[in-house]
Amino acid sequence: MKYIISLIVLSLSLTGCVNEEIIDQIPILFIVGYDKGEEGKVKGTISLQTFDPNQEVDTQSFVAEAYTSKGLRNQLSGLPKPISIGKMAVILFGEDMAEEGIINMLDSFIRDPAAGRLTYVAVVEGSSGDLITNEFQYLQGIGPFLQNLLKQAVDHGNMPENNLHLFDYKYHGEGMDAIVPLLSQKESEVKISGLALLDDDKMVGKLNLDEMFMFALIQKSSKTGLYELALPDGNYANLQTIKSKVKYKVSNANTAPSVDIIVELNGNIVEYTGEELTKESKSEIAQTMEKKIEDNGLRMVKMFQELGIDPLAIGDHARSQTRNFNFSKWYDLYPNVPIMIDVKVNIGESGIID
Amino acid sequence: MKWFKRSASEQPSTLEEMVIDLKQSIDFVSYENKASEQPYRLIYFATLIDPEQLHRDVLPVIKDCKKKSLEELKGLIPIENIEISSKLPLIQERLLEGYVAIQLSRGSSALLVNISLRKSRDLSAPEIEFSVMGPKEGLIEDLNTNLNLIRRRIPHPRLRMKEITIGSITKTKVVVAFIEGVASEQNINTVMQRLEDLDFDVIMDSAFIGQMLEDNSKSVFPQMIDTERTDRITGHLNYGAFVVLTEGSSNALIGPINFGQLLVSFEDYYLGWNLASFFRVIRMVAILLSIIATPLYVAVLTYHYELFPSKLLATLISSRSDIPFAPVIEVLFLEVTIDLLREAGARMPSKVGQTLGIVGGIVIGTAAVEASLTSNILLILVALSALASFTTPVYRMTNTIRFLRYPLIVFAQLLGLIGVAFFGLFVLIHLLRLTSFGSPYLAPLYPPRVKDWYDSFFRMPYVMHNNRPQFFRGHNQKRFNDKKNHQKRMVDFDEQ
Repeated sequence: MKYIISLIVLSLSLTGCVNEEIIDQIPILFIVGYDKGEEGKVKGTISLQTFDPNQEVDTQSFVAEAYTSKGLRNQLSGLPKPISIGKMAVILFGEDMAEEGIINMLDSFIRDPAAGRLTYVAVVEGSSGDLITNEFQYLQGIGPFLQNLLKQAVDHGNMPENNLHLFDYKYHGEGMDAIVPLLSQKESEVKISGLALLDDDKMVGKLNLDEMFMFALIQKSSKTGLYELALPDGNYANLQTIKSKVKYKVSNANTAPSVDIIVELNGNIVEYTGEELTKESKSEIAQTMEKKIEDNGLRMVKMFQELGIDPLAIGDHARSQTRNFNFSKWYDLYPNVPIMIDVKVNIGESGIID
Repeated sequence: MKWFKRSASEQPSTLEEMVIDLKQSIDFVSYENKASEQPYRLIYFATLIDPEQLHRDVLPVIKDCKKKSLEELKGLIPIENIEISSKLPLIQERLLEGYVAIQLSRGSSALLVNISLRKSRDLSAPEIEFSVMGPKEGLIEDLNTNLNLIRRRIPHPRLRMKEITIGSITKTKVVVAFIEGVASEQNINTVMQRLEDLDFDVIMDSAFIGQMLEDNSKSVFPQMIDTERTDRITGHLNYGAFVVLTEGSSNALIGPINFGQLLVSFEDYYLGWNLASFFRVIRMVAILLSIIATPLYVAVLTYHYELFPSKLLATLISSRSDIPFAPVIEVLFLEVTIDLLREAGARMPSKVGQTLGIVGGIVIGTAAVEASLTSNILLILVALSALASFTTPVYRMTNTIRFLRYPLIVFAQLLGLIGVAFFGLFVLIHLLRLTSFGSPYLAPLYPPRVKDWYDSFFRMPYVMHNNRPQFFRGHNQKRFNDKKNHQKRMVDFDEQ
């Protein structure tokens, strides 16, 4: 009996150890944006949804400036505490902030056990604060909307996989660099405008939507959405559900490396502006596609080598294929490594009338 | 109890003293007939005997009897169970059982004739363990009828029934039934030993005995199944269990049992094996849901809002935005309301109860949501878990589930999901340590008895039931030749 009583008393004394966060009493953030502020400070913008009993969602945004990410929370004195980031969907960075480095801000999310790992990190052309405070007509609020936009782009569109976890992995991993989505803001809508290329945590370049598609195909085996291909005869063909099988072959990685990227694509033609889709025109489409990817891919790879970044993780592939791989030597050699891209396109279906 | 003890010490020493003593009750009759040719005396309790039998079978014989000895009278009365005795305690005991004592002359010895009157209700369908399919034959309060029902279902010479009388005042007859050679002797010895050791005054129902026989009387989990279904009794007897039947109780107790058997509705055996297995799984899920649905609500809303999908979050927050209480208060309020309804429904006369259920369920529920005392999501959860708790086929288990929810809600409020996990482990450890007549409670699962799995959490086809479960530790494991069942022959018309 003494034992039981002491057990109950002890368990009651534990109750102070857990913080209560009652769901309707805490502000729940879905989105945060960081921009460069004054005097080396960081300007943080958050958007908060309030729910009323009629299931209507109202969005409010708050702005604060501080030197650290958690310091911003203290400055947000207009909000009830604790500010909870457990449902954070998207973390945005303004372009100017991204060029200086984003790891200081992201570090706090990577460390925090309350934060999810499937959060999206994105860079905004211009100011992220403006994007958040802009009153768009999105019903569920800007945070969940952007989450859905990026998720669908990865699942069904042409965007390569990315999230906070992958950023963390690629940031800390050797022989690879992270990429994050690039967003832009037009008057009444938010658009995906491509990818931001990072060198460690600093943004050093951009890829547009076309290049993003090519990048997604040659980065690793994946499935992309729709692509409109211009043919040399002036016609256009649309390819859908393109599946790519990618193989990286790195030889002599420690001495005189050379890289072969072998890509095998399977796609379906869903639209064609020419007169009839014959065998010849199909093979022409395939060849045009092959050439386009090879050219664009090589140009991209050249750009990566010039920038000294490795978003395709070629260094990592080299490591995995080489015994006693020497990274410091690889970094010296990387800008001048000859890289070949070999693409093979198979056209599968072209509709049900064939 | 002092008066009782004193009179017990002043036991009457002669028959006459006893008659004077018992005469203090108005229903006691000591009738002396000296006028007739053959003087005789009848001693009996008028309320216990069957007067018709007395007048038809006993009195004419006495009147016609010219000889003057009890021995010869014994041979003439056409009733079995006649004895001659001069032992006072035996005479008194027999009188209280509905015997009539006949004396031809004043003396100490008497002829005891059993003409007791038994009144009990007719057989009826089981009300607690109702099933749509299968026999609708329930036990009643009369022990002999119940034994008759069981014996009729198992006309096997090895079906043994051992009787023992318990209760210093009620003198209740308790019968332990088992199939010799199938049931483990160790289990039978254990239960007989425990029954013999029982020292209690009033036994009103088998539940009294059940609670006193249990291995761990502090546990909230039932360690014997009480049933009113004769088919369940038959099934368990065949597996090697024993059944304890009590005079005056329409519930028999089955032991030893394990946790899996609490999920067995006997209807499972009348449905196809695949359907039955599916429903058993549903029942398992229902138990789990019923116990943890509302504690999870408390834990998640208080500590772990991250677990909700973003879209559900909006619905939840807006449904809770008007409510002034913390989730735990909200949950306790609604849980207590439901239990009040249930308790009231059980105590009410049945016709009123039905109305009350509807009024309580719909009116209180809707009103509570409209008055912003609870959120409608919680209302759904509470109603669902109340419903789920009634899917258990053993009524005592329903009560256990109903009880377990409350400490879990408190733990969920104190420590969130960790608290729920703590309590879950606590219950698991308790179940692992629990035994039913020495047999492990979580038996086919732990200790693992893979051969018993054919009829525990699933019910496999009958051809796989060829061995009795190891759980009962009987000697005769083989049930039937399974090979014969596999050949489903089609007999052609020209085949003889």
